[in-house]
Amino acid sequence: MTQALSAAHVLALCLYASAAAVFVTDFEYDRRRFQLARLLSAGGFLLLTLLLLGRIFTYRYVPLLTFHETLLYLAWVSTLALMIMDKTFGFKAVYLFGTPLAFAVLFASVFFTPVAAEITEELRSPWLTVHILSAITAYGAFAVSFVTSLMYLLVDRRLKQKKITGLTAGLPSLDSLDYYIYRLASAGLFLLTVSIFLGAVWANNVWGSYWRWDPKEIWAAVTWTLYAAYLHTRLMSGWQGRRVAMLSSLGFVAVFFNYVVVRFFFTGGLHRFF
Amino acid sequence: MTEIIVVGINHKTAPVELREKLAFTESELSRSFAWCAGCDVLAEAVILSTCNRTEIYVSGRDAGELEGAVTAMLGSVKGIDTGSIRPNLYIHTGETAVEHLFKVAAGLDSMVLGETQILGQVKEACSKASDAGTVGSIFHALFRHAVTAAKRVQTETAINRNAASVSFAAVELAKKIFRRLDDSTVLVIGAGKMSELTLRHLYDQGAKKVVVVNRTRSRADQLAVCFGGLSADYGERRHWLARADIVISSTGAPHFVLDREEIASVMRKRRGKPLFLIDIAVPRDIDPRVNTLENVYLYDIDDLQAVVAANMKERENEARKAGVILKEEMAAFYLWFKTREVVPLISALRRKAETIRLSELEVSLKKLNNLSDREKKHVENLTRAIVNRILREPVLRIKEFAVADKSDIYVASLCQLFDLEEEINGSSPKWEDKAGAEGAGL
Repeated sequence: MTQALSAAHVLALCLYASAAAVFVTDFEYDRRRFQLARLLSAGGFLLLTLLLLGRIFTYRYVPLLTFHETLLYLAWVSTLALMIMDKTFGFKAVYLFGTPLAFAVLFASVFFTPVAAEITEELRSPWLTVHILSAITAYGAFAVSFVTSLMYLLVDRRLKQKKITGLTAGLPSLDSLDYYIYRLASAGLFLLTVSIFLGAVWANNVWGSYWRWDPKEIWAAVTWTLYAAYLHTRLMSGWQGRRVAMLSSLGFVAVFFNYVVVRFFFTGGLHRFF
Repeated sequence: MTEIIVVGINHKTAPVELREKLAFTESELSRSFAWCAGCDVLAEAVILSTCNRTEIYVSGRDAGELEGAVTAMLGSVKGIDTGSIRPNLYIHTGETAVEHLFKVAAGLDSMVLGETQILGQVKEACSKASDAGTVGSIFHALFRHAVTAAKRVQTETAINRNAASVSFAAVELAKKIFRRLDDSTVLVIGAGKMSELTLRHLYDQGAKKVVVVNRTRSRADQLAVCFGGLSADYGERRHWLARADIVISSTGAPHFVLDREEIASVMRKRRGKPLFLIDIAVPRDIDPRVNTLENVYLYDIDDLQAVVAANMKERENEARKAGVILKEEMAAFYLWFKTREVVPLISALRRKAETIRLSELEVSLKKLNNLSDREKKHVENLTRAIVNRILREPVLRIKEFAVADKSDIYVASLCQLFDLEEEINGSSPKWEDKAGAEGAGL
């Protein structure tokens, strides 16, 4: 079974790599090329789904307990977010930047052992599962929101430089991008709120306190504050434009820091498993 | 053999003074079609007359005769001696004429490379001729293939994706900034011709909220009325600036009308909502340093022209791809065109075989009168199967040779071998009838 799992892993990687390559080199917005790339990424997504399901059946737990597993899930949920943006908003250009990102996440998983986690009874708690699930799903939404912010900054710069041919010609208007960032960031913020809440409840059950100023908790709070600040300026005071796009990208920097840097350099905390 | 030729002038070969002399009015068109219908040499005729070109497509038996007929027609209907304008005329024959039509329909021969208006004009020219009865099966197929090719060029290449004029470039930029122009307010400062044109394009694309300010209030009123918008005194422009999303500035002022500080204060009120400034005045109306302000996008006339120039370069690249598509569709047309020349031969051959089969069958069945109905049916099927099997290969070969341009020899030798001369002449096209009648007269 593990062999089948690693075969699916490698094949999914190949599909994501080729999809990303076709998307990135499709400078002429050829319809058939785009559809081919979308098909490739859908194939990768399907394999990733099978891989995650395979892990559930083989190891008898929701695969969110090792770094390898969260990376797999992050790649999966980011792709899902790309597909949702495509289907509900007709935001096709999102694949252009989003698929390479999903590939990078999946590629990172290669460097971490796919061996299953050693599970204690407290790790089996459904509270914990939903806590991590919502956190990583939020990261996925933030990641896609981040690439959309990058598109915003790119279109803004190209409009200023008066060069709108080539890559920028196929990207949506600033207005639309601003709206997509807002939708993605608010979805992410909602999920992050849920995650923090569930984590606190679980921590109280297991360790007897809701909040312990663990590095992961601090950075989650920072992330939450940045995105809340973004949403506040965007929604309450009606601000938009370049700076707001930059604020939402800054939120993602916090996400990255929390997910990667805290994981490897502040290993002593309560979140040491992840 | 049927020949296709085109005689025409366009913006590349003739100045507008000459082109307008050759342009056809509606009544001239109908007189021309009547003339063509009465001419023995012309089998079919389509006249394409636009402001950039006049082209007469005709088909008939001989290219030289066709050219003569078109010259005579121009003399009779338009009173033009083609001899005097010969240097401005182009005459294409055969495949060159077909290729020319395909290029014209796809906009590859247009002043603005890849424009799509011409396709509608080609379709209209064909349908007018068709109504007048001067379009036969060949032109019907020819124009249908040309239109198909042009549509493919439009959908499969990016030749028409980017703006080819300054005012359209402004609209495209606006669409890169705003999701829906419906929600955008356009402020026009200075009601000139150029700002009207740009406003027209924006309005057509959905920007319906229009405010016009002008030094002469009456001119502002006029323009505002055209677009169902508001007009205001020139002094109120600051007030409206804070509400506008797109500003078209085109005043005759010798100095900047909008400076950086003014726009900066407007932007504070806009809370970062993007502002698109189009400065089409010379000398410029808006301080270029405005472009350094966040969320402000300023384009002056040179910027817009640079955008158009870049787009035109892209169109030229796409035109090469379009050429490949045209070649494919021309091949499809020629497949039909060449095999249709042997269609009379094939049907003559079939008719001949069928006649023989029926007469022999009749004779035999009379002798075999003790057969049951079922057996008679079998015998009949047998004869039909033999005829079909024998003819299958020759018919396929005839079509193949027709495409390879060797039909003449085969038509001649098959006519000789099977004595088909009479059979074929029974179904000849219009000009052969006439030619035959003339021959009989001699």
